[in-house]
Amino acid sequence: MQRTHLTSKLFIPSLLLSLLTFGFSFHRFVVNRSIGVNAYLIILLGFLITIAVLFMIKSLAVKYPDQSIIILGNKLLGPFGRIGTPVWLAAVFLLAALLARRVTDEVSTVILFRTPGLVSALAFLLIVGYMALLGEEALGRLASVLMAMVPVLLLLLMMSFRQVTFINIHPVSIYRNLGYLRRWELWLIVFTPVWILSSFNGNESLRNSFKTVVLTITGGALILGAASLAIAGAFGPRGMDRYEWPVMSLFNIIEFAPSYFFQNFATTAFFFILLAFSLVTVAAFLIVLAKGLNEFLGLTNRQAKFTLLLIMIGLAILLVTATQINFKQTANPILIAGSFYTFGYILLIWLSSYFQRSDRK
Amino acid sequence: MSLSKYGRLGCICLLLVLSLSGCWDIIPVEDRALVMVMGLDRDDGNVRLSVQVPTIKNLIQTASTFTDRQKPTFKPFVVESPSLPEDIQQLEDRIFQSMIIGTIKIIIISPRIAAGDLLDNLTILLRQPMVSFQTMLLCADNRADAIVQFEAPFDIQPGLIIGKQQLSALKMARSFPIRLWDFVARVDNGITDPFLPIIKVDSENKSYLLQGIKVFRRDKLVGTLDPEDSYLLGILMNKVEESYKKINIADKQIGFVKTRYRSKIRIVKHQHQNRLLIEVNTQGRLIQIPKGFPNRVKIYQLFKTAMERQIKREILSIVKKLQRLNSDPVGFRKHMEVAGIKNWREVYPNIPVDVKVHFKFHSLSPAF
Repeated sequence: MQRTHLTSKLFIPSLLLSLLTFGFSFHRFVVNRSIGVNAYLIILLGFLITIAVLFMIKSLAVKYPDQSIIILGNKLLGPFGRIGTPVWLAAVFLLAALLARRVTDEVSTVILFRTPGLVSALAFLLIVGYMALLGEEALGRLASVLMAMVPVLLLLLMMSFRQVTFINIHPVSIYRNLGYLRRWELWLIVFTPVWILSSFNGNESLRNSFKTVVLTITGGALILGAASLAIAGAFGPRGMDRYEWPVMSLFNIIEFAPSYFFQNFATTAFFFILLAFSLVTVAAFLIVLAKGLNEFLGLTNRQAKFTLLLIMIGLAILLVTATQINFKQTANPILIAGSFYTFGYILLIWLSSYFQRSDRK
Repeated sequence: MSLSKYGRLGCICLLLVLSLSGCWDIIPVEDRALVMVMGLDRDDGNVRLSVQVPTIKNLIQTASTFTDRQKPTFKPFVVESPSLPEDIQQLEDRIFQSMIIGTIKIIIISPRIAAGDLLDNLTILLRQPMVSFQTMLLCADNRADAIVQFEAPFDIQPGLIIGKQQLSALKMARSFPIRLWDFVARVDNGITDPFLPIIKVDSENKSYLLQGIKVFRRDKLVGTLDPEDSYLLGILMNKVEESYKKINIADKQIGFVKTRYRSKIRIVKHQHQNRLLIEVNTQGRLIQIPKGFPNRVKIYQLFKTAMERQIKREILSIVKKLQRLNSDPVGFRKHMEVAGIKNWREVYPNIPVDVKVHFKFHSLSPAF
């Protein structure tokens, strides 16, 4: 893998893209009928927790400059770190596999009906593998270029509000239906990639551009919240769970020159934007995995290439062998466990660092 | 060249080969049967499916000297079987090209299917890959396949003509479009009931007639509104954009053009009783003062009062009709829920209704 350096200008776009990808791809897992139409508040709660976690990661970054969570885990948690780090990397691996599967399933269902799923999955993996091989700087540059797609996404989202029936989301539900507060296990899912990327290679950015990072996450959370609100407003509290990919369904109802032949312009545009964002996010996860294992095992940079190859083979096997039932059964538990483990692991390292500082005093 | 470079080159070559994977999905345009209009009917327990498949030469929307058009512009197919998926399979067996139903613009439903398992059939279509959620739904006055098979003497595909006509702002006075996703979402939520615009064959003029509305309670057809009632429903739904409205004073008709409405619904409490209050703000242009009416301010005031009274009377009558049918395409029931009425679904058929209308002359017609 390329030895590269990720500056704030390159890190922040990757962060936003990964947040949006996760939010859009797993919207169906985060928002369901039991939560009701005020599901956007789930995102608000997750956002508030994320800001707290970012403060923790920043304090770690200030105290231990240029050290990733892997090194900090080994240094601060001792034997626990040697168990905790591989488990965390396994969680990242499973999240990457879930995301890749979700996106390739969408490709097979919506665009390439006749192409075998195996071929779509392999093509996806080869692209992300190559992107990961080029390193985080190249990925950051690509993410910066793809940032130009965010205003397009915003425009489409604004257009989707034309289809919202505001009576479906009248504010009275906020204090009448508080059922969503009981689904605490869903609060963290969307923001998991923010913590993964920030704790692994956001050290410098959090130290130097913390405000920008927070503003970026705020923007991302607002976009996700607005999308959630639009979905509830358009399809209604009971109609939301009819669709396997609710965000794509939302873009499917945007009327853009509907009198003419093409009725799916907005969907197609969204689909390709999400695909590009997903490639960046999965590639970023692969870099975290390959470099994380490299740091954990103390391998050379040359050996890291083989680590990446092994990870990709593992991902390919997982993607090809898992059936639809396997995916449906495991997706929710993996998302919940992965998000809570990442949160808990960062909290543990921060607490350990905090008490070490107290001891010194 | 080093080993890693060979490896990278190999990966890129493999990727290029895989990028040809789209070839699995390629269907040449001449091999495509692009279905544009679909009709759903029920006959002796079977689902009758009818489709219009245009020929390639007749697909282009704009007529020009370069387009060599042939008549007929489309070929209708009709099949019948116990279920819609079986119908689709039967069509595949009959159409010699690859049938693509992702291009459907219009789905015409017969009253018989609307009175039965409409939602099941619509969700089957909604789950077909790439069937646009924006496909428009219409209801036939009798048989759907009769409308699908009818060929109007136009150069353009009927699906495109009907769609454009339905979406034209000037046409939205007695018929209002509803999309596939919207219909299904209304049934799913039960907050506002769905409706379907009526389509008929205009045999005299060899065209299509879009007038009237079928109203539903959830997914069950419960009633039909004539064009006048449909206009009033449009006022309540804030869908009438530009219309012609006439009033009668002393056996004379006074017409207003470019009449538009803005309705507001509220629940008010009067003497410990909840009442539905509908406020309608409307404006229009007077075409002409009929003979016998002097051009005085007093006359204008007379017209204004007469218009307000007439609209009030008509709005009250359409709301009563909807209450009798226990159908709510407007969203009255949700307003009741917001106002804190607990058994709002049951209260709706009997809640007292008040209407306030405010009409103003926006300006006089230029010809006056």
